[in-house]
Amino acid sequence: MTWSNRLKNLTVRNKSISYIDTEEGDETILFLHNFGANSFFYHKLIPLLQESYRIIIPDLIGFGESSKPKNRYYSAIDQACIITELLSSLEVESLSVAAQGFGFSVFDEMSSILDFGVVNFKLKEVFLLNSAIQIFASKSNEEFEYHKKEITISFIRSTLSSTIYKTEFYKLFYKPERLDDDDIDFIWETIKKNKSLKSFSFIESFISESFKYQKKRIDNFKKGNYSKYIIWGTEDPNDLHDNYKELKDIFQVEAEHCFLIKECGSLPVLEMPERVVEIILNKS
Amino acid sequence: MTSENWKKQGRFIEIDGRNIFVIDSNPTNKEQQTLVFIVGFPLTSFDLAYAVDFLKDNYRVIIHDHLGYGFSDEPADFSYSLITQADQCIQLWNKLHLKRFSIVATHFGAMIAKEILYKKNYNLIPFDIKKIILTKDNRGLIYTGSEVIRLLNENKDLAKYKEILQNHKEGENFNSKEDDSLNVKYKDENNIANIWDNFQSIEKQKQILMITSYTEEVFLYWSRWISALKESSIPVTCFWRRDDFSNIQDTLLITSSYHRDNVKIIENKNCYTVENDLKNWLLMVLNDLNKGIYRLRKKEFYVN
Repeated sequence: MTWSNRLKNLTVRNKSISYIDTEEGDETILFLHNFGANSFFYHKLIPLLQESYRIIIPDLIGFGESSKPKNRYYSAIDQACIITELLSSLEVESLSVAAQGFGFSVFDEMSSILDFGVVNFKLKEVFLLNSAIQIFASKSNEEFEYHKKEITISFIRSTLSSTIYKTEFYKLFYKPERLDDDDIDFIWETIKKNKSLKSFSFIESFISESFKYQKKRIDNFKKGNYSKYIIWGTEDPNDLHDNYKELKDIFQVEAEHCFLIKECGSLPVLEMPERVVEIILNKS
Repeated sequence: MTSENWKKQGRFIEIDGRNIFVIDSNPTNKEQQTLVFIVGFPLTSFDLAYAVDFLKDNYRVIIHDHLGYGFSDEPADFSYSLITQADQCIQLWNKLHLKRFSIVATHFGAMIAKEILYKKNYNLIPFDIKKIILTKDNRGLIYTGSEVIRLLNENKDLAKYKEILQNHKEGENFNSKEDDSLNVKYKDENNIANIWDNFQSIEKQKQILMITSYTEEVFLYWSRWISALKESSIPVTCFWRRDDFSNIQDTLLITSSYHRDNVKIIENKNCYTVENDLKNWLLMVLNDLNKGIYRLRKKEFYVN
């Protein structure tokens, strides 16, 4: 089944949210995508994982086929409220989460909502995928401002044309040939067709938010009452200082739960989906 | 009342290993209605000590110090954002087993209240909130010059201004002959000297960082908090004053939206604030909260 055929739609709080839900399975796993991505980025995982899990992949508001708010940054807490309602509508009671970047922020806000005690999901396993570690690891404001500028520029530049987008996108891969040409064309078309580019311009707000809340996010993750795993492609082009080596200390994850994927860029779900699935299923 | 007495009246409640100071005027009386105050920078709970005394016969009054303020802990590893402060409020009220109450919020507490309202609109918190009253008194009158610093800091380039001020100290700048309004402002020697002194103390520098960070958040979550008011499922009253530009802006935005059944906008004609006239500010709030109690208390107030 193609990605477009799998997409479903639900209206939550006047926002139309599109999502994939494979419906069948005893265990549920939720994928939360990064800023600028959409559920399509995870499509390669579905056939590999659907025997074992019910898979839910929403397009966050502003991305993919979901609503595009006009002239405003739809922050991680806003997204978390919507996703929480979506999960209630889908009658999910317990779930595992795999989150990347912006998705991790959304996950963190969801777990804060759970702390209030009104919404009840049981969180089982949480997989943290490549996120902008250089932001979390920034030691000073100057360093942060530098990274913010770098990321913003490359992000905004990538939206100018399909050629630039592809060039920037390939940089995220260790071996760009692992990406199908059709896939990247499709990703660009989806982004362009759905006015997601408008949301891209809020990248700076996203980075500011990430930096402001980094302590809270890391703290919450550390004290979280669920099994924690890290799945990380080590060849992240933005990780200039090889910060990934400190991951298990930054997030306090046991060494055997920290899976570094060598020779893989910052999008393991597209570059090495088999390996990602192997980790999720076997934890090895 | 001294602050030590105030401390004795309250107690500490632990949330995530950090102690939060809270005053609960009557924890055992289930008959009274509950009123929760949310203060915000630069106030602490102690600034409202009189209010608790004034209202405790009519209400069970709850007020706490946010982390980093008053008697509460000041952990180094805490993100002092308005959103996390809101989350702390929710967890605190949970621990106090509050179910049904009204909220009065002032200063940056008004932002915290808006965040709580947003979560309430989404049914994410376990409280039955009867009413929210917002009085946004951002103009910190007790902090001479802090308003000027705030304005400077809205430009986010603290370093740049430091340099200007340093130059000023050495007398190199501000020698312009043009007497336009901008230059006149910079020629106010006392004011500049005052700001410069403020920059030198760690305490003031902390404050500046705090305000800058709050201003940034207000910018980031502006749409979120306006939509919280627009979609409010519970009655909200906003008091605005004509001497505070920032809340006029907010007021205009709310009035220009068409869903405002639940939002009442009232002008605070005499510009009462917690700092300049706490008693009248309280009566103003009470008038909106409960007319009966208001009339009663007003009489007493003027007789005394």
